[in-house]
Amino acid sequence: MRLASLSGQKFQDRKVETPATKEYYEHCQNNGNKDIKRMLQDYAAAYENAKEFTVR
Amino acid sequence: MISIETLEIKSLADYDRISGIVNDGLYVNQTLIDEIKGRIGQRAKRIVIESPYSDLDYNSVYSSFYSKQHKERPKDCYRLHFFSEETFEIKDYRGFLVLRPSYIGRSMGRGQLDPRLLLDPGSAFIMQSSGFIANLGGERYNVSSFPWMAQETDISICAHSATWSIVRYFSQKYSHYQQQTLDDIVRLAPPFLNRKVPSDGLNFLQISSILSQAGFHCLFLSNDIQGADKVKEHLRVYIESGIPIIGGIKRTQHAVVLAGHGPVDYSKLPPAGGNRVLSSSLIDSLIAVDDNYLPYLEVGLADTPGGYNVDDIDYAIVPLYEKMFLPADIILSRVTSFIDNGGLGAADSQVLRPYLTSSRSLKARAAISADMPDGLVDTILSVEMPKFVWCVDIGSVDEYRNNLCSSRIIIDSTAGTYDTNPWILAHNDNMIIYYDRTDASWRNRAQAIAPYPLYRNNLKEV
Repeated sequence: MRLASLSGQKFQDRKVETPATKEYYEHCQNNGNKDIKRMLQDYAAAYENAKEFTVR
Repeated sequence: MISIETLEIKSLADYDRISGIVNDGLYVNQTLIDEIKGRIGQRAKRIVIESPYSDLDYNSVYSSFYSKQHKERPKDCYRLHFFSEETFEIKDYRGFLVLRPSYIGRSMGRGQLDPRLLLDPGSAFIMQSSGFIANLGGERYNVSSFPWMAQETDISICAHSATWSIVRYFSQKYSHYQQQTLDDIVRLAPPFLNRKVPSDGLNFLQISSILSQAGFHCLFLSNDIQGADKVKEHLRVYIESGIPIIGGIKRTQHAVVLAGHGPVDYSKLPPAGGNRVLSSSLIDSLIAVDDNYLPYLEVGLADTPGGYNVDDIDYAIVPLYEKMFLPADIILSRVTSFIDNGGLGAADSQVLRPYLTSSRSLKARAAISADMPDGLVDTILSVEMPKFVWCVDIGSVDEYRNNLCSSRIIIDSTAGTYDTNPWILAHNDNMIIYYDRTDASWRNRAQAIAPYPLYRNNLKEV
């Protein structure tokens, strides 16, 4: 039973400032967020493109 | 009185005897028998024919449509039950098919058919709900299946059948989705320029609206916009996540449900040290629940009998649970950037396998894992998670070939679109990073982790 091993267990591992590297956040800032904006625009465009497709 | 007749299938010719027992052209015709013969063949050893059978979905359209027609039509159905052996054992039960009256030969009604009845072992991975129980002769026969129905043509077309299949699947699998009859689905279609009944067709906006009213939150994909390669990739990621998709095929003006995939082609893995790949790129064929044919039709590179192939899926509607906020492409963008910028250290990350799953199932699998170290299991069980999470199993080519991974990233599916830290937990072969929600901190633990089996819970191997 896992409950037995979880019982009373404290998770006090070393705290870290961030889970990812500085380079990752820089990439998100410089490119990643722009890519995501384009993806969202594509979802909206896909909706417009597909909504009038009729099946019979 | 309820009549029960048993038919032994010793050769394919024995299927022709169904006509002798049902003996009514409104319910059975040679095309139907040939379809059953061709697809099921000798995987069934015994058929039990039950009549009369009162079918919920046929009754729903009988009340709303057929009862208003001048020509009289029976209210009762037949039900064919399939057994894989010449027994009546529950373990050999492979599901049922309703035969409803039709003047135009569309008499295959609702089917809850175990994929093992239609496909060879090892040939597919399919979404299945095991929540349906057929009552026959006082016994309760459980069947694991994806709901299927042929279109009625007058009141319902392929899009209704596809939408009905998805809604019924979720209602059988998760209690918070309400069961909808075929007539409910027809009525949920929003008014457009055409009539609801008889139906002239549905557009994708109407299909999406039906799914929205049934509690889903839909994403649209289009080859014209996202590009065929991206759509292909995303379809496979959502299918691997256990989310059935409505695929739209321009070539045949048809809609089908995509509810699984064919075999994984390990020969397509790159050499060690080569390019990074998504596991979805190793899948060539998808499994369609197409209302024109019995379910679990393999759609590969060659045309199916329906005149379409896997590259003909031009549009897709992905019905997501309300709190699955982040779509597949945003997840992949963040994850590849995380890894490429040193997020998991030097671990070998050549094959990525992304999928959505419920945190409940993920934790349940971790709890019974014999291969994960206790430190990782305890951390997964103790980290707070939303109802659904994205996961990416990561490994080397050799690990993936052996169905193993050495790293995993668990991601908050409810995170904001531009949140650069959607991570809940990430580990490689020597450390775990996790988010402790109680004090909003990131914590790191050194932990040796040997490769362990990939998470397989969303689809069932036939």
